[in-house]
Amino acid sequence: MNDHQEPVDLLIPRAKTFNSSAGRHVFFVHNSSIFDIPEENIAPINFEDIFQGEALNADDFSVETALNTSPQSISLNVSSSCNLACSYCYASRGNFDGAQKKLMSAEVAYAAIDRLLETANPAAPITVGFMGGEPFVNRKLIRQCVNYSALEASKRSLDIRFSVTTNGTLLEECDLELIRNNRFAITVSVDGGSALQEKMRPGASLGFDTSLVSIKARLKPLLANPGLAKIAARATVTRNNLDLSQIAEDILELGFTEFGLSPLRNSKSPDGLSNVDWLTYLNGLKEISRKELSRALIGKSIRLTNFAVALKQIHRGFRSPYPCGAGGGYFSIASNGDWYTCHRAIGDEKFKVGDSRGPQSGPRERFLVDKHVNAQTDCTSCWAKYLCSGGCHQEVAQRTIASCDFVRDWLEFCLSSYIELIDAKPVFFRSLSQ
Amino acid sequence: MNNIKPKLVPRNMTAFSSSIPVEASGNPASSRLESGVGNCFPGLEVDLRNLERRFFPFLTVDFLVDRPVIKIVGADVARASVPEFGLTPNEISIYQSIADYARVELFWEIDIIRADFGQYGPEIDLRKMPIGDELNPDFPASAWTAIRLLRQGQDIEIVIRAPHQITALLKGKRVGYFDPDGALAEMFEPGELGQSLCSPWTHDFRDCGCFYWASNHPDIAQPPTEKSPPLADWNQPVNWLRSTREQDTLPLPASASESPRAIEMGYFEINERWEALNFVLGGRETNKQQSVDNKPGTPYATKKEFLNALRYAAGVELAVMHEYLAAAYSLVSPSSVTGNQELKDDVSAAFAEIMRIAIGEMRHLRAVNTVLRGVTPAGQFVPALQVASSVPTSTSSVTRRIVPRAATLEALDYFIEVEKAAAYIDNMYNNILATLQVDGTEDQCQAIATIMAEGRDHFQAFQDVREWLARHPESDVLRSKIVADPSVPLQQELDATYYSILELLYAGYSAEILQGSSSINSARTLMVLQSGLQGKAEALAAAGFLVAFNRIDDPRFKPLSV
Repeated sequence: MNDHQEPVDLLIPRAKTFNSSAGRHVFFVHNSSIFDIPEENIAPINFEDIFQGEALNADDFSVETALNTSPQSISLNVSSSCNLACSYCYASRGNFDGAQKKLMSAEVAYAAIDRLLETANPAAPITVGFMGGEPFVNRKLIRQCVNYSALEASKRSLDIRFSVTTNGTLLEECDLELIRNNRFAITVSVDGGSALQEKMRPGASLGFDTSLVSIKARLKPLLANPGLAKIAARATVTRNNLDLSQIAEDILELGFTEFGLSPLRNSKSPDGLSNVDWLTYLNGLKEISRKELSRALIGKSIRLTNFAVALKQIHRGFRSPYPCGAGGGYFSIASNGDWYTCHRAIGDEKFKVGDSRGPQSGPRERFLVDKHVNAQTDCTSCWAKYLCSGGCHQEVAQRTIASCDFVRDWLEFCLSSYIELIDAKPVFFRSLSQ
Repeated sequence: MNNIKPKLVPRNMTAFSSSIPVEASGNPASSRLESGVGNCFPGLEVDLRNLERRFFPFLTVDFLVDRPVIKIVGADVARASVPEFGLTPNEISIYQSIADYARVELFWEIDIIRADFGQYGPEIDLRKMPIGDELNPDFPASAWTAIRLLRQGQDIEIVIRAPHQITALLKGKRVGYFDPDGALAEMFEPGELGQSLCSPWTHDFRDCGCFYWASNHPDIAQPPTEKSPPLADWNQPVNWLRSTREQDTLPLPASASESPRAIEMGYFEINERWEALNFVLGGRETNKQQSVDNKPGTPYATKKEFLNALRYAAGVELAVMHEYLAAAYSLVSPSSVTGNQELKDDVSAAFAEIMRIAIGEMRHLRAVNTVLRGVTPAGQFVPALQVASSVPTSTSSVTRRIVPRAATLEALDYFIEVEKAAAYIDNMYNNILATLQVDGTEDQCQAIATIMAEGRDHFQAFQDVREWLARHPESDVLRSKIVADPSVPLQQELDATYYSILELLYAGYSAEILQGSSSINSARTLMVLQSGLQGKAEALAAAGFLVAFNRIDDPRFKPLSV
């Protein structure tokens, strides 16, 4: 097995210093710990030496740890089509360039759920997600899967949750009831204001009312009464519109209380952000975040999930050699029952790790060895490598110095915002400290 | 690598938990003023009078304790001579003279201070100040208090007198004790603020008794012995601070010495021999290593078992509370005792102690319900207010029925048994604690640990109560021993009041902490009102009956079947 334990190259940075309104601080790469550097330190500090002699990469960086993680979440590609035709879609409206033509059957879905429930760690929550295409094209299967999972989970006393990503244009009252009555995390994919939405999401021509007015009307009862569900919006940001503040404003106007932004990085789409766009994107993101930070400083919530999650992870000292759970705790099941490392990899043989029998250790291990951040040559010398972990596996090819600079600058901004927030409103983090 | 260790202050959770291999330079946090014991016990960290010693520019003074005299013990001539301060050569020569005399331990004194002393006028003549405890509204309480009345920057004139009786006048402004950053001003020397404090191991240990830091030591204790059980003579308390400490020689009983101080270690002796002072465990001195039998509990196998155990625990708290109320009110009212002060004192103390314990059980009931709420799946919590009909004993698998009984010695032995630290109740809580240590929150664990610790205190308290009551014939101590017929009106009133309290508690526990508080407060009020439980219980007991509650058939409160 490839061993990613202890890097010996002295070029590997061990610490990153940064400033905040409260002074100077240091962030240690290997354990994401943060310390203040009081002004009374007169002599220069050699941060490279401070943790000398201590294993820089603890067990949580080993491939084995990821390999020994039991699958806790799956997504089921319940639909292989979509009523919209967004230009930037990674899934080609759900058929993944023809790799996923059929609808998933209930038998295939149940088998995957069984497999998940059998092997999951019973002490931790388990999530069944629904992806596509537009999942609610196949609402019958969603309902069947929720009922089946809830029943089977209750037999085993497991804590089951659900997630779904939807464009929101097909939601009906019966869907809202299902979402309310179960612990759903529902993510509604929108682009921003009406003009942008219509431009990026052709669909009306296919006979659907995809207007924001319609989406807002469909979501309103759920936002007013979410029941057990948590609702957030997500927007894919393309280089055609980098006015993030406007996008944020438009999304909040729809009634959402949380939203996330993802910059488009897709080789197939001309709308993806290019090197010249990243600085604009960063500045936009910071501008929204500063507003959210001032909300947090007076005790309100942070609505931008990218920012809120980053702050909380910084507080906990989060670090990981992988950017997400793909291949570790998370898998996505194609309509034919094959297991892939994630929902974006459907149909791509390189990311297939199992068939109806579930994930197989051989391909899974190859994937985890290959994707470990210490195996990414351009990541090893980066101080942010255990925070960013190289970014989405599907977007590695689009990684450039400019996009990495964006990630580093953004994280540095989050680090200094963290200091400001915990100084002024430690209560924001209290629930995490226990 | 630098020789100077960098100082880094942890910020986030991993920083706090990481074993950063650097030593911080400078003083540890525990040495900072805000960490000091003086925050809890003012006066133990710094002696503020040491600030006033520097009240006048370039001078250091001392206040005499018994006389209103301010001695000038030092003058900083070098600083006084700095041209920026603008002192005249004459003034500088006075400072020089003060310094010269002080070097040979002869001191100038301050006779008169002229400044705005508010209600005391523009001038205080120290020579006219009253001495000792004599009160005079025209003067502050002491010379030191007078100085403390001065505000920073205020103009002061002092008339000072040399050892050879010539006088001189100095003018200046009241010195600032802190620099602009809030740190002590430069003139103070290291240790100066603490210099007049006593060491806890010397004077304080001898002079400060009873719970005052740092000398909350026992006054008396049973002497150490190897014999088990100890010989009768070795059960008498002895002076803990005694100077004579031969092994195997029975020390003098504490009661034998008229003047304890005469046989206690002296100030200096404590400094030298403090290690000879014994630890006291269970009332007896010991110098041997102790091991605590800390058997870990066994977590309950299923959630259902765990929830049942908590319900039963609540029922046990309620049940023993019933028994303790019956016992407490069975004692004669102290106001009815005439002529026998010892009896009066003993029943007063016994009633107060048993009631304290009964109230303790009520708090435990609340705590168990709070834990139960926390571990019950959302929306399914039902308050645990069903009384247990039998409670555990120290013999596992043997339980005893709850019976209201008067505070006879036999009944007190029962109570001691119930509260005994090793008894099954503790064992039950031990298992509850073990379960929470796996699945519960820190708060829940603390709540249960507190119940367990208080059980041990109750055990001791009942032993004391037994000792007090055993001094008197039972007929002098008790007023009621029989349970009233349910048809007795006073009994019916008591039962009705108790039922109302349970209903209020049920409503209070059912609601969340904040929303439930008004019901719980109402329940408390109903417990202590004369027209409430307290009054009804007293009336029933005065009529010659035990305070006992009849079975309630409401499913919320009916006895728990084990």
